[in-house]
Amino acid sequence: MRELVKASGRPPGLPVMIVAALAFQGGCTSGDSTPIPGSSSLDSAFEWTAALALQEDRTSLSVLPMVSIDPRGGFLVADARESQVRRYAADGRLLWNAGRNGGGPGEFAAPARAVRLPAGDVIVADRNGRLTLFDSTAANVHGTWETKLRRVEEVLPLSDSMVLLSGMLEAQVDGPRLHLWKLGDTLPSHSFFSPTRNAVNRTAAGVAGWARASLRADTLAVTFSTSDTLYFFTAAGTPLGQFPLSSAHFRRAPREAPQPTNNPAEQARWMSRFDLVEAPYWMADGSLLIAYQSIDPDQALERIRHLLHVTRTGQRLFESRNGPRLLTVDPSSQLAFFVDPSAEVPNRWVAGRIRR
Amino acid sequence: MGRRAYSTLALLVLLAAGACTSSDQELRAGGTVPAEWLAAGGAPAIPAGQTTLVWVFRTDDCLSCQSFDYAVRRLQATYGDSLPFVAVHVGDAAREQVPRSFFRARRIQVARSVTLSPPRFRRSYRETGLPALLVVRGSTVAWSSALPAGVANAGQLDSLVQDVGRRVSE
Repeated sequence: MRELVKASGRPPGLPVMIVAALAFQGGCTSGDSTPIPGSSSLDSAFEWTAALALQEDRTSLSVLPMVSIDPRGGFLVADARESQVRRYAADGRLLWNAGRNGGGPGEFAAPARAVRLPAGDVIVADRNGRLTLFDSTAANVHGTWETKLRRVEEVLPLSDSMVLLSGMLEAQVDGPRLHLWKLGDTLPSHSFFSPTRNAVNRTAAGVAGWARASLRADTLAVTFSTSDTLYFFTAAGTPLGQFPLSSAHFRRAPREAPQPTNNPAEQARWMSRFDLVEAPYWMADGSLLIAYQSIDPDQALERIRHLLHVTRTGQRLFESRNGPRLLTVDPSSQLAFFVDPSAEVPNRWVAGRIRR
Repeated sequence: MGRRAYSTLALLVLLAAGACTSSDQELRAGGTVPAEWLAAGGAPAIPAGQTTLVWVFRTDDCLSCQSFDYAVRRLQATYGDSLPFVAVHVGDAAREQVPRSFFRARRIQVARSVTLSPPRFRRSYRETGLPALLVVRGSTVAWSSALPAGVANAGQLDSLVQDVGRRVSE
């Protein structure tokens, strides 16, 4: 937290740390899909092609699904609230699940992402920085590693031995947020992308900052939650440029630090004053879907979801406010998967393609 | 337990909070719940042998890092309707949407939810630390646990599930 002290001019203290704990990117989702003036309805932008329900039983309940496309078919889901990872078939059938709350092998605190490596093994990143490598069906744990990363929100497989991780290394708020990590190592091979170093709203960036990335060929599209900028890097971490996101609605974080308070309602109100970029998703034509969100302090910190479709240079193609939560995009089929806005539960999804 | 019985229990919770005169009463294991919690017009709200999970909490507890919901989901997956969950919200009725959203997002099945104003609750249960999870059986608080804001420790959650589960199974 030393960097936070320097950034804001005063120690943030426990209250701000608590806010930080609230700010992780998953959150909940609002069921309100009413678009607001000046934004497009998702129905005008997407052609809906399918609806599916993820299978649930006594051992598997979808509470906060963080979804990755499984190259072998279907979906890999990390559920931070259930401390569990699951694989579903494309039709929603549950194929396997693994994990429970804990710190032992095969246990998780809050898994942020599960992805498949090229050879078939499954790697799971816990928000607390611990990596777990499972075999292809998660029946066996090959190994676990502590990375000294915190607030991990992204893992992208680069090879069978190397992944890209996002996170804050050894609590360095102003340090790099993306890391090339060789599995088994305790330190990164290479770190890059330090978005908070020159941020005008460094307190917000410090307490509510996370990075996400999407890989297309050799190009990483990267977002940082409190920044309305789209960053590009090679997969090796070489900068390729950056463009402002031309959102008509994105609210930047305030420059000033919040007043110290122990009142969670006041903390939530501060958090609700700005928007947070959730993640970028490459589309086949080189455009990008950018999911962003607001926090609703009157709905137990539920997230209000927004979606921006931009060109590679950040120019707006459409923008939708108060829509359903975008879960993932399948790079091969170009299907975007959302939580069904009419459903009360996050295991009911709809899929659609951008209208051309 | 039917909807009517839950309504009765909720009403009795409200009545109990208003009816208690002791200012240092505490909802804790071994204590007896007020008679008003148990019966109205001869109809028991908590039937004999029926165990109920009661979460007593403030509005702001839904805005902090509560992770007890993991344990409650485990219990609900195991015991289903045989372990009803009653939410006692100590806060402003105008903010009832906050706990409602919390339970929906955490996928906790709430059999009944009631709201008590903080002054009313304090008058009756001044010494009760909130939030608290109670297992109420018959007229007795069979088990209680003060829940610090971040019950994130796996061991705590494990013991929570096991303790409550044992009470339910006994």
